[in-house]
Amino acid sequence: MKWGWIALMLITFSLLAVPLARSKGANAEQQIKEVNDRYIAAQLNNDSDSLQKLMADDFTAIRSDGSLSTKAQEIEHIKSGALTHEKSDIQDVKIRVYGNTAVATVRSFFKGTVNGKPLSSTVRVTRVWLKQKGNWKCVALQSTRVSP
Amino acid sequence: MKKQRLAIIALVILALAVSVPLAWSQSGNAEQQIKTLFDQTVAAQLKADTNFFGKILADDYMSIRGDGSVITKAQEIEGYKSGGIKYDANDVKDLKVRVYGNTAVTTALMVIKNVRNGKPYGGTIRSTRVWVKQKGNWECVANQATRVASASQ
Repeated sequence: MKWGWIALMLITFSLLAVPLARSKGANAEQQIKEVNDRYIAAQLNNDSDSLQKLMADDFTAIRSDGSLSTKAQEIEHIKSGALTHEKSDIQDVKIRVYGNTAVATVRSFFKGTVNGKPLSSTVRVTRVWLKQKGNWKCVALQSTRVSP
Repeated sequence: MKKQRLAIIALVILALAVSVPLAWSQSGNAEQQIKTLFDQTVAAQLKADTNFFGKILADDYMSIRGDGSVITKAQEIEGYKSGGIKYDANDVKDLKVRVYGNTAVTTALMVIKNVRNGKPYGGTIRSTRVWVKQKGNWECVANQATRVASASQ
């Protein structure tokens, strides 16, 4: 009798656990979509405070001109007005989640200014997200111009 | 009773003494493993070693190339097989490895000389690779290259 109850409980738990684990995976994808969108919106609004929160301390960016920058340099780039976004049309969003890591890639049509000069180009951007103390933080970004 | 308590404390100390350096050495190991894998990847590019890419690239691997095009694992392997992708040189100048548990990110500055679909292609590029440990093995899940403009080298 006792064993019957134990078996029943085990079956119930396992039935509950499988959908829970699945929804966690789907949840993570949704979470990444949200933080990625927030990052893009913060760039568009030249909102360095939000970007600061979304970037990990050891964040690095490889910009579309191939230069490498740190979190502080990237924030300064936006704060100083050296980089402004007027438009950022996002297409082809792909998100892959691997436990506490996620890779998000987008194709983006950028229109704005770099060091005062107007620039418009299509770029592909990868953002690598890492869950740190319960929050998703961007540890790496890279942008590559798409040849016409 | 007192003896028993002492024995437990001794056991706890012993367990910590063994596990802490082990954890340290494991993360040190991971960095070394990733460096080795990166070097092996560069060597495989020069030799067009498609067997190596078959093993090291994750099935959902995606690569954003220097011209912004995207290729899958199958397309990259096919490129090496057909000769559409051919490396003559790949000098790694600045490799940085960051390990976060079962994930690692490498960034590198590389001077490459290669042939793409019969046309010479070369210059300085920066690349990011993302590595994920899956079923005990490190696999490359993403790669991206950006050409370095001569002004920002």
